[in-house]
Amino acid sequence: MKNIVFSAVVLSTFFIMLSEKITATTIACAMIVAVIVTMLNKDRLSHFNYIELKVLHKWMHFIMVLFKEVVISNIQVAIIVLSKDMKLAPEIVRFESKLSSEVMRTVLANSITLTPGTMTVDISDKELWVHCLNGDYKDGLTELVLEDILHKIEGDLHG
Amino acid sequence: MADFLSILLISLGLFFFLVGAIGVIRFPDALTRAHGAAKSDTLGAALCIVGLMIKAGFTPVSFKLMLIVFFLWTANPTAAHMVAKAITVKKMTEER
Repeated sequence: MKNIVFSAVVLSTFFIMLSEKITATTIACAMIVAVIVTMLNKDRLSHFNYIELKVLHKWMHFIMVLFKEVVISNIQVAIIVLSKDMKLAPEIVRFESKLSSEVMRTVLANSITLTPGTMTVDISDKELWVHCLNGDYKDGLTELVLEDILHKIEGDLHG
Repeated sequence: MADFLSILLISLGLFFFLVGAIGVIRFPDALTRAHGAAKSDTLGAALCIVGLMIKAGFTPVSFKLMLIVFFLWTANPTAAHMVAKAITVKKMTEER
């Protein structure tokens, strides 16, 4: 129930923001559409369990770290692409995740793709198959700050 | 000043797009090409959009632009992952 209300509120605010004006018509339309969309996606609402006030600062930290990683990875890809001899030794390594929920593992897989030199190829249960541009990036995977933050968020939510 | 800053950011963003395009041509095989395409688009698009946000000022337009960054940053790795998965599946079936 809490998730349904939360989802409807978020969606209707989104609608109003996009329509750029607050009139009776837009608010009514926003609420009707938000409720319909929420009802159609009832079984996906459990994803909202991961957004709570007590873990909000950890999500902020996560976004900051992710942003830093994206900048670093872009500069590294630029250096590799523009270097005369590309030092490439691509390999696919197995990476075991300690995260227990599927949503968190999806977030982790997406952020691994955004971090330098690595790209998630496949996920099967707790195993992630990660493609590395170079052997050096493989070591960076074991001390992943992003996974620690996600692990802490999971711990805070489920005790 | 704001104009200068936004032009600078957009140029930087375009530089990263260019690097991504060169990467797609220069990388040796499909999986590494996906790397080039996935990485440089994220920062390139983000920088371009932040440049446009500075130009738009504090209006609903810049809020919408911020949402575009958010959706790009979630969609881009997912797309890269699907491409990578398709490539590996194809490789496996060819080896058999």
